[in-house]
Amino acid sequence: MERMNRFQRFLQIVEAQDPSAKAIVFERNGSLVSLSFGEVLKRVRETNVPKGNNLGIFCSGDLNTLLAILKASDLGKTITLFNPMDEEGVLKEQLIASGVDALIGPEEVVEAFGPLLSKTKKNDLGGKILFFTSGTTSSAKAVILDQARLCSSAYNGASLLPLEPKDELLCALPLSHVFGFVCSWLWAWECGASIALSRGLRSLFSDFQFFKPTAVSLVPQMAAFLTAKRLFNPELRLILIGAGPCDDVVLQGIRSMGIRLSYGYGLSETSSGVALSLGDDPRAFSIVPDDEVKLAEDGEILVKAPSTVFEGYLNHPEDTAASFDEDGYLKTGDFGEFDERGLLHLKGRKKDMLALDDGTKMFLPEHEAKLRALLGLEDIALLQDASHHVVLAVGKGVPSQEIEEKVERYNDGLSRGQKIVSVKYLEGPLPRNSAGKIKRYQIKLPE
Amino acid sequence: MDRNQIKEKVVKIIKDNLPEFADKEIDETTRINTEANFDSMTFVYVMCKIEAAFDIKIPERRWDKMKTLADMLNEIEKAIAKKK
Repeated sequence: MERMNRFQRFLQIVEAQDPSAKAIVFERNGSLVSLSFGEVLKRVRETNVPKGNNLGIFCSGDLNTLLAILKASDLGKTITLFNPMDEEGVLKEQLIASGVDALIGPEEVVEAFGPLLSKTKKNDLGGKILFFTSGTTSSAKAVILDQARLCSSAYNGASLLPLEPKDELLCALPLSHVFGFVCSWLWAWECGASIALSRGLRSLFSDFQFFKPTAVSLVPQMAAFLTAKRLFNPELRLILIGAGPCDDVVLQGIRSMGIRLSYGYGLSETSSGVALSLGDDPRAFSIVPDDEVKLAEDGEILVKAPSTVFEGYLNHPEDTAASFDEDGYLKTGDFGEFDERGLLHLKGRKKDMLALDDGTKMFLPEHEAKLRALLGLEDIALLQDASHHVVLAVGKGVPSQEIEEKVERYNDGLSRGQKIVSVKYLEGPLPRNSAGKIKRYQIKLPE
Repeated sequence: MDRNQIKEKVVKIIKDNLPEFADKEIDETTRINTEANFDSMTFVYVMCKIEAAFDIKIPERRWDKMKTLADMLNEIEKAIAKKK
């Protein structure tokens, strides 16, 4: 296994070793079509991308998306990746903040968002790759990564959890998400294996029977659904779950089907994987080779990994500086502890942010400020219940139809995964530290 | 097919696929977007079932705009009319 620093190197190296090796499988007119690593190289050479230094790519998950990313990155352009399924308002904010000067993607989406290009704050970062970290508007921040970091992340993952060249990884996650980019694409190519491009949201449920993949990376919500409906194919031997909390029942369900399970822990800021579970306990994580992980005094997980840790947040220098401690370790915002075998266990969130089971994040201060104003209540907090659903806790709360109705209306502006599913009224006030900050992890929700 | 017939079919699909709704009375004002277990995967699955049942396609970008059963029926009616 070799560490790459450019995406094209995967193609060149595998092609030199085995010219017939499959790189990509996809559907065309109901049939399976495959391209070898050499054929993909050729297709990349033939691909045209618009002029501009910072290209915005709407990741629709088809072959053209992949070719555009490969071509633009090879030309040394900065790329900003967008999820066309995000809310229109979110996409607008992201687009303006990103500084893109040209767009690539489905015609109707490019047409709809093209007029915004004149409003973007232009910047030329010189060959970076930008991923937005959340689905909110005012707090939407892009992490600055590059090819070398993403390739290193794939190398790290493949070192602990290698695929075989004969493996086929179903690429069903959005490439606008770092976990999807690395774990449903680059991980396979690092191992000389192929990826099968999912036919899209509507076909995901039958993709497993259609492509017969041997491996797949999923966010917890997808894993839960596919497991409950038993939609996996018999050839599937490995599932990697990441980007959010996952219930034991799902992990056990996958294992009961005889499929190997690995659970990943990582952040966009670390180019995805920091640690992977490899043994019988899916919640006991082994640290990847490049990462040095230690715990702060309060138990927060700190990571140092020059090969994979991000350069910073685009246009948010204060947030970037605040992300690192004085020794240059990235503060993850997660609590953890090491067991006697040196394996890492997650112990909850420290940051004012929720990692949702659909792989997205929810930054809480802005929502809580809006809810305080809307409800006329000061002592409130958003958090996740045992099922990972978002709930609103009200300190010294008295059940009220008016509150519930206002929360219901507030939900209209939230994406599906962020919606507040219930209001929990606490007998006492919310626990706070001496500075008055809510100690979210100490809130005990009533039944 | 009139609105009531569409509604009957949609309600059956929702009840068949979402145990939480099985014993609930569903009318056009019922908000279907905040049900705890109606997560995005389940929503996509239900939408696929609805599209297949009526042989229509509702653009994915419209899906999140459907807050109540009435919103859903409006979109289905539009898609059926477009098909004609």
